[in-house]
Amino acid sequence: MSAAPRFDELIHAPTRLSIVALLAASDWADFTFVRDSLGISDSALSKQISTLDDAGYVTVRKTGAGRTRRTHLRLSPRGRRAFGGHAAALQQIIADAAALAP
Amino acid sequence: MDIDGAREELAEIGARQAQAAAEAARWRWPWWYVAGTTALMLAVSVALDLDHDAALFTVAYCCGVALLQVPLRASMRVRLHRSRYTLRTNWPLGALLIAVAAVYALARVVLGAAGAPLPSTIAGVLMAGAYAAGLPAAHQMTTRRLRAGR
Repeated sequence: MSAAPRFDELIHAPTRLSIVALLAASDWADFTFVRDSLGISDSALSKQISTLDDAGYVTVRKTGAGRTRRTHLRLSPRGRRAFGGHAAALQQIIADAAALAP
Repeated sequence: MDIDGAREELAEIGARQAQAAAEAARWRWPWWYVAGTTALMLAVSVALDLDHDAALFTVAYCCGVALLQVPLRASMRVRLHRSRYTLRTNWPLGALLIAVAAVYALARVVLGAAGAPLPSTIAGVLMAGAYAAGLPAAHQMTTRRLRAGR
């Protein structure tokens, strides 16, 4: 990841960090896969997805109807940049601390 | 944020990315996709022997394969980012497709030269058989690479 380090408070929240990390590895992921991976309820995940969607970090695509209805989640280019910057900021914190160590 | 917090977050990121790769590696080619693709291969091969309008059947094959992609996508819960599908990870599937095409071409030339009846049909049977037999092995090699993060 070669993004410029930029700590992101929105991604920093534990549940959102897990969601964004899952989506960063994926082209797209099914809502149920993210929910099951995190072990949270539909409503809890929906709430976090809404927050990420409002920030323009995630795109939500619904397909089918009734029993075949599926929701695909995808990290937007903006979300991918923010995630890259956040991961780079974390690495920088570790590198800076290591440089200061006696 | 302190260094321990940063380390924990990076570890969480690594664990979640491995989880996505593991889910993708768990996925298997559905039987109906393999059956549908081999049936299309056979249909085109037979058509080439019985009808010389190859273009029509080639279009039918391409449309059929494209249609099979729709339910195939629905059978997956996650599709890894394209950066994960590198040549190093995905070469077994690419090699399989090249090998399958080579089986058809070689069999078709040999059977044609020997004057065998229905050379395209026989070559098509060999091609479809090679595809159905090789896909599980190629898929296993690919998933092993995905799990190992290669």
